[in-house]
Amino acid sequence: MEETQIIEHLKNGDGFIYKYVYDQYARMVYSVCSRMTSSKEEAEDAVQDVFIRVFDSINSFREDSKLSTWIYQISVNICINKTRRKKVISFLSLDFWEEEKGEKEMAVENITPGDDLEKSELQKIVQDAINTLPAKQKTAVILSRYEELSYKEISKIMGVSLSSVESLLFRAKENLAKKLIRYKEIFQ
Amino acid sequence: MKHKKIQKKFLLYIDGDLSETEKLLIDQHLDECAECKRHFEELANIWNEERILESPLPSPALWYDLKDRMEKEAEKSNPFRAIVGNAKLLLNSVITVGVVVIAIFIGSRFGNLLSPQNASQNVTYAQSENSRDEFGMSYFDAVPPNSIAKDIFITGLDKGGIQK
Ligand SMILES: [Zn+2]
Repeated sequence: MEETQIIEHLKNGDGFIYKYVYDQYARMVYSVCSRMTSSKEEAEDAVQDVFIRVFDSINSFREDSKLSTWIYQISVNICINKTRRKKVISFLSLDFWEEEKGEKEMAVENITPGDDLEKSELQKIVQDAINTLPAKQKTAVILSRYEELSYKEISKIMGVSLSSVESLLFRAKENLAKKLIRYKEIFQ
Repeated sequence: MKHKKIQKKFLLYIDGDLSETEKLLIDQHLDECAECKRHFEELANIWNEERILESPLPSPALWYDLKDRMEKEAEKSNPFRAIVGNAKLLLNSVITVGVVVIAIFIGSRFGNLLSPQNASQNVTYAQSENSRDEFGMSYFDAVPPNSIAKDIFITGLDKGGIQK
């Protein structure tokens, strides 16, 4: 189905289109949400929020970008807000300090000194490092590295200039290199 | 310090984000520094291998969770459905109000409490002569002739009662 047709059906509220849109974009949305949040439950909750927002606010989609760009934009915003809200709540609930300490210990514990790292361990090391980045750097890295989007598309999704995207990715990779080398150093 | 500066650029080097001059500087350092070379190889291994790992997939049940949530939210935002949904509550309220109205009606009908006509009669009962007859009090008004009780009655009761 053509993108313009999808948008039209969404605007008309045609019942069949919701499952169709979900099937087309669920993998993409879940991929971003699972990397931007810290648990499977949180990611699935975010995915639901994203699709509800897409269906509810299709009339505000100006159609000056691809539908996928708009859906990415919604996904990123929802995940950033969720993470921010979670930080505020955990800070207020006084579990904050315990959790911060716990997270660091967990990240270090999961690196084994040997050369052969399990796939999940490998993912965990890199994901943990990415999760410690400031929100904008983290978003830029996820969209570039895993979604393989162009700088231009990332700039549209994040609402920043092309040079800002370059700068965010540059700083993000410098930070990640330092973090990953430090993780490895602990065991050698 | 120089090592740290070089190491910081490793991921940019691996991803091809550096200029030729910068790359050359790093190549030169790696040729001379075994420790940085080791870090570089390990980092390249982690960074390149992790990227090609499969993206996580949503669970198949997720669509049904979403559908369920959409239906619930549609119910919330549809006023007609909201009324139907609250019909039980509405019915309970109507029954409660009805029972209270019927109770008040029965109470006022059989208890003669609220009728203004009856309310004024209450006052009359207390003050009129007729009330004495009604309660059989007129019997005590009939004082025998020359009875000493007459004086007592004259002084003790109002004139209306005695003259009869
Ligand atoms: Zn060195």
